[in-house]
Amino acid sequence: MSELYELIPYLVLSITALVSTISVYLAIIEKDLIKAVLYSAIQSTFYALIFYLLMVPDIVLVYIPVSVGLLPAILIIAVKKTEKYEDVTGISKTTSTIILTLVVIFTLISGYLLLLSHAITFAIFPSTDVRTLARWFLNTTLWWNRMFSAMSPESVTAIVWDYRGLDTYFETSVMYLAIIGALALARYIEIPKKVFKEEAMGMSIIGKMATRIMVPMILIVAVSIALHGHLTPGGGFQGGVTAAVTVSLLIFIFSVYFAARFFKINTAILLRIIGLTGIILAATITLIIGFLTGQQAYIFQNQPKVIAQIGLPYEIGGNLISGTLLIFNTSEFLAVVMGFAILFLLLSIPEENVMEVIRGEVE
Amino acid sequence: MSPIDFVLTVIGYILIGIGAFCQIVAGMGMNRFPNFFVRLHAATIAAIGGSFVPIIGCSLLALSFEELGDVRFFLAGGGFVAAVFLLILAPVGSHLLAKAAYFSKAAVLQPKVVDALEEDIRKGEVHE
Repeated sequence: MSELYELIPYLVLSITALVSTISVYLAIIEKDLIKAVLYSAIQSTFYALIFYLLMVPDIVLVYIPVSVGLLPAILIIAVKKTEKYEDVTGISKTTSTIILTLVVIFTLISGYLLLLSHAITFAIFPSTDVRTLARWFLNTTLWWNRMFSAMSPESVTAIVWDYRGLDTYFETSVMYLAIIGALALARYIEIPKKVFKEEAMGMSIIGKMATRIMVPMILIVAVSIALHGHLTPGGGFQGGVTAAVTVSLLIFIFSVYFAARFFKINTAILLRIIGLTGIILAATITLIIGFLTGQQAYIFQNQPKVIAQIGLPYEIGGNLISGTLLIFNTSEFLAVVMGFAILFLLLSIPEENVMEVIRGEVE
Repeated sequence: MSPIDFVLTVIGYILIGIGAFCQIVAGMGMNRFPNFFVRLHAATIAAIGGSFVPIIGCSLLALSFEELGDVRFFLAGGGFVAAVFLLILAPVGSHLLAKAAYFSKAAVLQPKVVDALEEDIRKGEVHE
């Protein structure tokens, strides 16, 4: 009997999903635009119900006023100001019936599969245990007991680089492989050697002057985001992306020939490899120390654990550095800046040069 | 509350009010102006009058709010720096947009009263 009771949310979920799909379809095929807006509002209402069932009441609180109240109101005002009817020839009736049938069948099948896949465990909704785990992470990222702590007040960085370090390592590798792929595609293509002329190239002098003022400031902010990654929101990736903005500014405001003065692709690859080496070193530094001193240690170990007593110092002279987290953030910053610099430079090579190289290879 | 703080608070609220007014004016301008270039003018009103001025106001408010302790200096400093950035960058962005739209002929200049740039180009004083 309790199992039947637990099934009710799933039934409501599938019915709401079906109704919202149908109202989306009606909103698409409706010629009267006011009615279409109303259908879309109905769909939003059912979405809000789905969100509520999936236990995100905070999103429901935002979703209902915006998408049921505000958005239709704005759309209705816009429709009033323009034309009330859509004058494009729409879908014919038989096609629409076929599409509607397919949509309904698809929704039923996928809903049934969802029901079936969760009927075994009845665990679609987040259990309260997850919140205990989150509370544990939040309370112990900076704690008096180093055995159970990452010694960093920023729990996101602590989770990303300490508790779940291997995940982040593989994410970094994915980006590394993507850039290797881009370099392999462009292996004979080079930035053409041209002298940068201040007057003839790039945007106007106002834009250039503002960029000259802004670029050092952006770099300062980026380095600060990266170096404070273990203290405040942010980290190596965020700081790196911020710094990569300067490269794209140099390319678009000045010229690719101006940017190529500062960023040679080969130098960028070298610096990126240095960054990645730093990441690998930070991941294995406790293991190396443990190997040299004959003690037990793990990869991605930051602070001493119960059966592995080696750990990096979490502060130097009273400044919190959180062990490996600072090394991780700095290295990731270098790797991400240089990765994006390579991508931007490759993307901004003129098409004629690329075509020349391709033709040369074919002939 | 000391007299200086009171004055700062009042100035801050006035600046935020000016900002709200400028945003409304800019919105009306975006809706009603006939072509791209004057609409860009309205957008710049929103950036300078509607963002730069109220950020200065917020910084003054933070500066005068003594309950925050020393944090209020950080807040106000951040606000001033952000406002100066906006003051430098928003006009540059508008200028570059207008220039690009003019020379690429993406925006139709209609209705046109006077076009000094076109006359200069015809005389040969300005090159694309």
